[in-house]
Amino acid sequence: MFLPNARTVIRGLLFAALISVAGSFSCLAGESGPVDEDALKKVWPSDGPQGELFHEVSSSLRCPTCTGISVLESDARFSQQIKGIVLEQVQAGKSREQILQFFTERYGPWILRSPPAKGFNVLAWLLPLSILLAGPPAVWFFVWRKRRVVSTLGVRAAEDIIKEMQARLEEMRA
Amino acid sequence: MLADLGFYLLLLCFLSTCYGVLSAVLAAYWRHRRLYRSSRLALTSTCVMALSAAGLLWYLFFHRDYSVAYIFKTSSNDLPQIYTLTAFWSSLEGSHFLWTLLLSIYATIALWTYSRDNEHIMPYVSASLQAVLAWMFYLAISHSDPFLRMFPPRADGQGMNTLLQNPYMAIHPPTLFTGYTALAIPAAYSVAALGYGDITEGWLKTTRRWTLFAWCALTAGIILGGHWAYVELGWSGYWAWDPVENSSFIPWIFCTALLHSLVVQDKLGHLKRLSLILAFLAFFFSFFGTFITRSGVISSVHSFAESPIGPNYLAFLAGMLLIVAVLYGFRAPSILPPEADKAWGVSKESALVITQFLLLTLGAIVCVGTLYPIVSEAITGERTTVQAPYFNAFAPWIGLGLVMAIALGNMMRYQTAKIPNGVKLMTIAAVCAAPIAAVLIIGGDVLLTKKPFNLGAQLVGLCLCAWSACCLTGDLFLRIKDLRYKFGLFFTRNLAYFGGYVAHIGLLIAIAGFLGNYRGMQKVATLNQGESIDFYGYNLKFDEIKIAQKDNATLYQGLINVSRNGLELPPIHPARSKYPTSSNLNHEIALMSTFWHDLYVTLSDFDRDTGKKATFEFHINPTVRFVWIAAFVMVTGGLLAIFDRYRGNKSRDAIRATE
Repeated sequence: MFLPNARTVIRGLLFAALISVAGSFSCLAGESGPVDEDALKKVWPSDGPQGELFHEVSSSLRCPTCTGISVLESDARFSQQIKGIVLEQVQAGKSREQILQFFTERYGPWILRSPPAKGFNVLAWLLPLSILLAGPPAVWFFVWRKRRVVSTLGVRAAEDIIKEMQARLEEMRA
Repeated sequence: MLADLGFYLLLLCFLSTCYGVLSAVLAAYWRHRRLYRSSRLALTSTCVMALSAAGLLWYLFFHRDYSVAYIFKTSSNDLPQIYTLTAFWSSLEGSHFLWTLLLSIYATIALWTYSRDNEHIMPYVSASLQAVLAWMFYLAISHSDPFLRMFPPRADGQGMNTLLQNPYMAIHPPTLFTGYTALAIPAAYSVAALGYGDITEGWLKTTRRWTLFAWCALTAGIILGGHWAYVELGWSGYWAWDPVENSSFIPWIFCTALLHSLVVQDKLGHLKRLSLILAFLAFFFSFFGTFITRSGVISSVHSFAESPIGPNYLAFLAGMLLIVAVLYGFRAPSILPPEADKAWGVSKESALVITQFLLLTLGAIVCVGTLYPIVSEAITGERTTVQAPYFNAFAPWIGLGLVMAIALGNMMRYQTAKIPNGVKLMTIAAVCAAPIAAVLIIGGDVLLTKKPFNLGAQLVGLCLCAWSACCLTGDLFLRIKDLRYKFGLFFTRNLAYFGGYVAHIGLLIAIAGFLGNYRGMQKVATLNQGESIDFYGYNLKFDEIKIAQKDNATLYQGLINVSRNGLELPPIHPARSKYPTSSNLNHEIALMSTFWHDLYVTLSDFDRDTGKKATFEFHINPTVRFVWIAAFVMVTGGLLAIFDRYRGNKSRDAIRATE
């Protein structure tokens, strides 16, 4: 159950290799001071339909080396590379779905910031929805509608006590 | 030598808490008062010893004793004094120890400031608190020992995580941990109520105060953490829904739900068992959060097995859950509301239950989202990611429900469907809200938003927030009017209500602030010396990159001259910093903050040879300041409510206070 399949392993290794390459690059850049003309030139568009598409796509891809943020928000070397690819594809006129598809094929659904609603991952989306929609009826049905039965651990049910008392009264009257 | 002393102190703490648990359990069983007092003394001495051990650790930090592994790992010779102080909790062992230390302090305070109405359940309280402490001390002497020695001692340490070298780290972890550990006290009281088999007279009063205290600390701690992320991480946001943040948010949600359930319990005597469950779960989830973030389980299920802390935590959490579940199963059925056949119908108590449902749903969604990657990896073997877009798909709808519930629920009254002057109140509120909403919409430049959904969300959100705030204020006015404007009387008798009013207004301000995320703007630009760009009315002119030294960090400081609408403003300095112990360049953001928006600038890259060319990211983050203001308002509201002497108080104290 915990064993990953071969594809995942290969993908993981590929990732590790990429990350370490990216890491060593960033170390180099930090240590010595060569001018990284490419990085300086790459400025992401912020306006127009292309800019909007770029924003939308790159904010739904995760930064592989960070926790919690998208490639758009990250300036890790690896995210910069992904943003470069996204920009190229946006300029080549590809649609949002096509670009996301491209990344999912390469890196698996892991690269998407929210799991695609397919296969097992449907569960991730259905669970909250079902809590939200089925919760109130469930509470009503199981908690509020149910009459409280007072019969526990030495505390006898109120109705039983009343019946018993009445029975005793009857006895006394008789 | 001193480090060994620290370890022995922790060992003594462990033994003393073990004795404390045993004596408290026996005291509860035999109803033996002096044995209980002995257990309380055991806790007190534990607290003193834990404080001494903490003092010792700080002493060793300041004397740079690198023979202690933890000090070697988290500090270095170049570390400034203030960060040497905070290095205490900058990694696993120290933050565990801080957790334990704070818990022992609050537990001691709780046992000594008990109410005489709770006297007979105090042994149970003492036993539950010390059981948790015993386990934490066990962890401190086994797998997470802050005094662990290493030989030979080095001349210099590895240095502190450079991201944590920020003034907020001095205050954020202690505040948050105060919240986490203070939640242990309501939980201990609910275990005590279960052990005793009934809710005692003073239970609500004490639980309510501690819950409010924990709530204030959690609120402050979470927002301080957001502020740290905002100024330190450089991605221009304060909340990323990452697992660490989520695990602090879940206890907050449970704590808030508990406060609402305690209100119903106070007024009507219902929802007692729900309060018990929520009080326990709030604390359980603060532990659970520490577990999932500290055991490595979050990064991957496979790294979980490598650290001995993970399985230990799991065993403890499971044990805690099991004990409380069994106790609940046996004892809860006898904890009953005053009348068995209550009709809930449309009423304030039902509104409060709906509020709790919304809060708990949010908690469940956050929980599902945080744990989903682990579960899915374990079952399908494929790694998935659940980040902000997932949570943002659900959270706004819950927020919408909460805003409505705040407005309607506060206007309603208990046990009746009628809202006094309801239609009039809502109409006047709508009329008053219109100018407020207009100011928010125009002042915040909401209409600049391009996407129709984002624009609609903001318009609806801001209008509803304004209307909700006006409804609350109208209700406040009605209550004061009912008391014939006797403000003295109102503030002595209704401080809890007033505190609630302030806290709710705070939440509405926060939501208005969160809506700003729908219209953030950003622009990336590479500028040569002397070049300038125009962005949202600002003119930003790049001058050059300078190298400066600040404490232990080397700063590559960009100089940007700012003017807005022709008006010269002070220059800003977005920078990157390099610390001697790390090869990474950290962001030192530049922030120009106004009431309506923040201009947030980061230096992405620069020409390292000449310093005459650089790439900047410019962000406009609207209404971020609202969130900081809201935190202040909410905490103020919570603190006000703590000092109410009447709420939840059905004992002789209340009578004494009236006299």
